[in-house]
Amino acid sequence: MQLAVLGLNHNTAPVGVRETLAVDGSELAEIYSEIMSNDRIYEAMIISTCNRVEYYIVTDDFLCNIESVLEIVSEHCKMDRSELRKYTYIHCGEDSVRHIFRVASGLDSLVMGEPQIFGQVKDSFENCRLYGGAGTFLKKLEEYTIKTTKKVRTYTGIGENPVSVSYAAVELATKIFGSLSDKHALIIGAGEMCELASKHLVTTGIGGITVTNRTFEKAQRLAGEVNGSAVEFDRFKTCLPDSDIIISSTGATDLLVTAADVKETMAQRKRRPMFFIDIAVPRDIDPLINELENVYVYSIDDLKAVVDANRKQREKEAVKAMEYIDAGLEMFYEWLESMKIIPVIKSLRQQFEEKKEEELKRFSSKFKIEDKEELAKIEYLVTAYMNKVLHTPLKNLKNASAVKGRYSLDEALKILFELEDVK
Amino acid sequence: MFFDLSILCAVLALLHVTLFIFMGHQRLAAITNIFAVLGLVFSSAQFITLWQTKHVLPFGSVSGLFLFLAQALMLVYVMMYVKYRRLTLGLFIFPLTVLFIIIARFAGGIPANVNPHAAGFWLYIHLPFTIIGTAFFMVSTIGGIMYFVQERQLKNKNFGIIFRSFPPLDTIDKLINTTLYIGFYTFTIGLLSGLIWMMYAKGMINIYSPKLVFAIITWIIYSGITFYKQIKGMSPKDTALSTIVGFISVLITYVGVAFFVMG
Repeated sequence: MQLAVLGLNHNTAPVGVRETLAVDGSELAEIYSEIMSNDRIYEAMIISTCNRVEYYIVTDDFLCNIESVLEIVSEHCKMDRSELRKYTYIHCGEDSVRHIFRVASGLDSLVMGEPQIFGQVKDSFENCRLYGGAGTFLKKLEEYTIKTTKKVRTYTGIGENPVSVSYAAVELATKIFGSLSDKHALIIGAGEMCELASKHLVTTGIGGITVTNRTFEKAQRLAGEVNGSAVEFDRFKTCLPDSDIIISSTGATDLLVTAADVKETMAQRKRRPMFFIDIAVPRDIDPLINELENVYVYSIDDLKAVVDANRKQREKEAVKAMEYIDAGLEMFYEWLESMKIIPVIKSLRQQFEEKKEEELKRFSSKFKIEDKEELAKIEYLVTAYMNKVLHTPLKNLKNASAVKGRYSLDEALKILFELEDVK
Repeated sequence: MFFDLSILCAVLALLHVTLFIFMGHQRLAAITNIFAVLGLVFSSAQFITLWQTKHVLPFGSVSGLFLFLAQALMLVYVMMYVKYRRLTLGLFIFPLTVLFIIIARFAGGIPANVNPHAAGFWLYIHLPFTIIGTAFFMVSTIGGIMYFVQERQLKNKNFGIIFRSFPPLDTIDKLINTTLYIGFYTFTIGLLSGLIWMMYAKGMINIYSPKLVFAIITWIIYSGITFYKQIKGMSPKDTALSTIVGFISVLITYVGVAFFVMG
């Protein structure tokens, strides 16, 4: 049995194709039942997010059966198979297990290291159980995927160092203020960038937000969304002394906050630090403010430089993450190897059971024992003896099966029965 | 044995914190802290053993003083780590710890015979408190230096390894305040108990004693900083600067004492 994956993602397919192939929650049951109707596919799972659609199958012959999945997908999205092949990739065996570990850890995401994909992969495993696609293989794969991803996220910095401008702005604020719970932010403008930054500030746990905008209604709307307050545009400078973080993104052609304004504000604030984020082009905040003590001004270009540096850092962390992924892969395959011995163990046990039954029958007829209680006692003794004798070799057989290598028969016996003293 | 083990732990803690800064593996952080705690345990065990065998503490010798200072620095690191969870502090503290242990080693290691004048209740209050207070002042100065370095990174928009590894400015400021106040109160207890010891030992307070003069100068500077902060308030940058200035005065005190005493 091996795992194979047929999929497409943001690197292989344009957004239009990804949209066509995306699997809606309501379609899952039907697609799962179609895939599972193939006798040669033992288990299956579908991951469908905005950036990827992937079909995982557990099968003996991945080449034939991945074709049948391709056929189901092509029928489902009404796209020609040859056309579909252009956008898809196929992995099998170790590569497919490594692939799902990479996907769950965010290494294969559009924004490397983004955490949402982990939740989406966990949901996909849950759906797979719900729609009858999961068996021993995928259940164990889920366990190892979760374990490996948690290690990657805990022991590497793959999720640290934000790679979007608005996240980077908030991250910089925490580099100055640490916790933002007792800090106040003033948002100048109510456009998309301001909205994003305000929402990130709220997620980070900002103490309070005040929004100002030339159109007061827009300021009120955004303030309402982020549980903040709105202030009229011509009065926003009165809020400066109480504001630790100022984010500005307006279409103004002149500077809205000058060095003189901030100099006066700093005296009122007893020179407590202030952080200005100017996302506007042309600038809203006077760059000379950065020259003042305890005041930091970051423009859109500065934030882009932060994002670039962070992206490079995440790429370095990805190399570290691969070490954990390879370790997870090795452990998963050890488990898989150990599973190969299960049928042998079952057969050996069955053989012992059959012999036991035979001998018990022979024994009772030979010695004419008809008392059921007495027979039960004899059976108990034989069963206990059999279990005791089998325990050590079966345990060692299971442990040794994960280790690759060949043994001579006498060596195997020594290992199985722990015959250490034999020279 | 405990002496050698504490040196080994301090060196290993320094090695691991350096690797952590450059490689970023979280396991290295955990190992660093294990070595820091072990170093503290071994150096404490060393003092306990000395107390059990000779019923004295080794404050009467230069090596004993430096050993205790190294131990106090480890103690402050562990306390500050528990409060602020910032490993970078170790990058500055561990080299000092290693340096002080090496000085203690060259100055004779664990003293075989303890100066009988250095034994006594008030002296056992005075010296540990003064040394622990000094260790806190040292860490607040380290905080001050870290503040200036990180502040420069933010102003100049350098997003390299220092920017990522150093704590936020606000956290450094809190660390400076905590160590400054604890250091000040500890040092004050050390100074007062020293005066009492002087009265008991010599029957009077010798205000011309160079040790006392420089200790009082240090105390006045630090009390000035703390009271000014309390009453007028101080910006984080000024606080960082004041800790550096304050510590220079402590250095002058110690060098001055050594110069006068030896001279």
